[in-house]
Amino acid sequence: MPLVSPLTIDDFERLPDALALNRELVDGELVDVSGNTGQHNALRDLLIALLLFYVKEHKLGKVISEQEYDFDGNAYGPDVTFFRTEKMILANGKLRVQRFVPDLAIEIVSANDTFEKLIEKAHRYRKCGTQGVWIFSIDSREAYVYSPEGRVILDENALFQSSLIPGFSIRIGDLFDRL
Amino acid sequence: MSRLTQGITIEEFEQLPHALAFNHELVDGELVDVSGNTLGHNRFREYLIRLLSEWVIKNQLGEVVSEQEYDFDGNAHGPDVTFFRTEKMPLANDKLRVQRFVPDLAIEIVSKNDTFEKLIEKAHPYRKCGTKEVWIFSIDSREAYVYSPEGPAILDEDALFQSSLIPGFSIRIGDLFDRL
Repeated sequence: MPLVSPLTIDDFERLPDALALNRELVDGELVDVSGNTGQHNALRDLLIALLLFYVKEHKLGKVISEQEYDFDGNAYGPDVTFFRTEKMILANGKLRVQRFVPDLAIEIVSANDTFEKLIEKAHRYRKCGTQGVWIFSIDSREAYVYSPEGRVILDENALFQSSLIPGFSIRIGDLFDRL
Repeated sequence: MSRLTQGITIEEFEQLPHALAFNHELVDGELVDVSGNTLGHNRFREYLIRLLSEWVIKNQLGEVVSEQEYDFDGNAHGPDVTFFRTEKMPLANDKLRVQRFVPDLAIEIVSKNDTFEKLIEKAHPYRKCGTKEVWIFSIDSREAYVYSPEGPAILDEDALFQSSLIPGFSIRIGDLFDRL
């Protein structure tokens, strides 16, 4: 990290929209977020729709897309995040970057996501306290999951479910088939 | 998946002058640049080659080779490290750039500019073409992503790099990274 004057989350928060929009703060530097394809957006919105409905009905917490959080000084905005009711009190409607971490983070692989950066995100999220990280690969019809139960690669016949959202479950292949 | 009208075939690729084919793979009929490797990447590859070669030669299990291209259903890919069993040795042709069979084990080491999709997209076709195991080593995250008949898995540094294809060989994944 050979940075002379890296940006802090507070600096990032004060940047004009034109500078901060579509950017994340990684190791003190602004990093472009890749533009999403239609398929990418479709999967994100499908996940949001499914999770939002369930989580609301069961009063489990909040589901939100593209929300940035402070992951140990880095501002990342996973495609989909969920945090439990207990954390709602920490949420600040006025801030671009929430000063807590979500309980579950979902990333959908984009064409220009490098392997290293994506896996680095998953590990950073977990290190900062996010319990479950799911990476959905539309191309290979798989999910790469990092959770307290370990790290696994799930194929389309496995289920997308999490102990954080009890009772919710859907076959991974069914998600991809709905795109 | 070959919906190619005028794609290059393996035979055409084989006949290309070295200057054109060097550091390229043939994917879906098109020449694709192979990313330049960093020293860390090369060191790791050489280390794997050294460990595996020693064991494989001593136990007469087959052959270990680096950056060798094979014909994966019309695509020419050269994984960082490959192993094929003794039974396949008669198929090997020293005069060919692209071997007309597939290795039993293929190892890829993640490069900085490898995209997630392209890398995973390699692992699955290798397997589909008959390569039994594909290991992707991520030096950065100190993990191995393994695709085998037992199913895909993510192994952390405390797990072992071993394969039923190379009986008796085993080393802790973290120990591999620590030697860099």
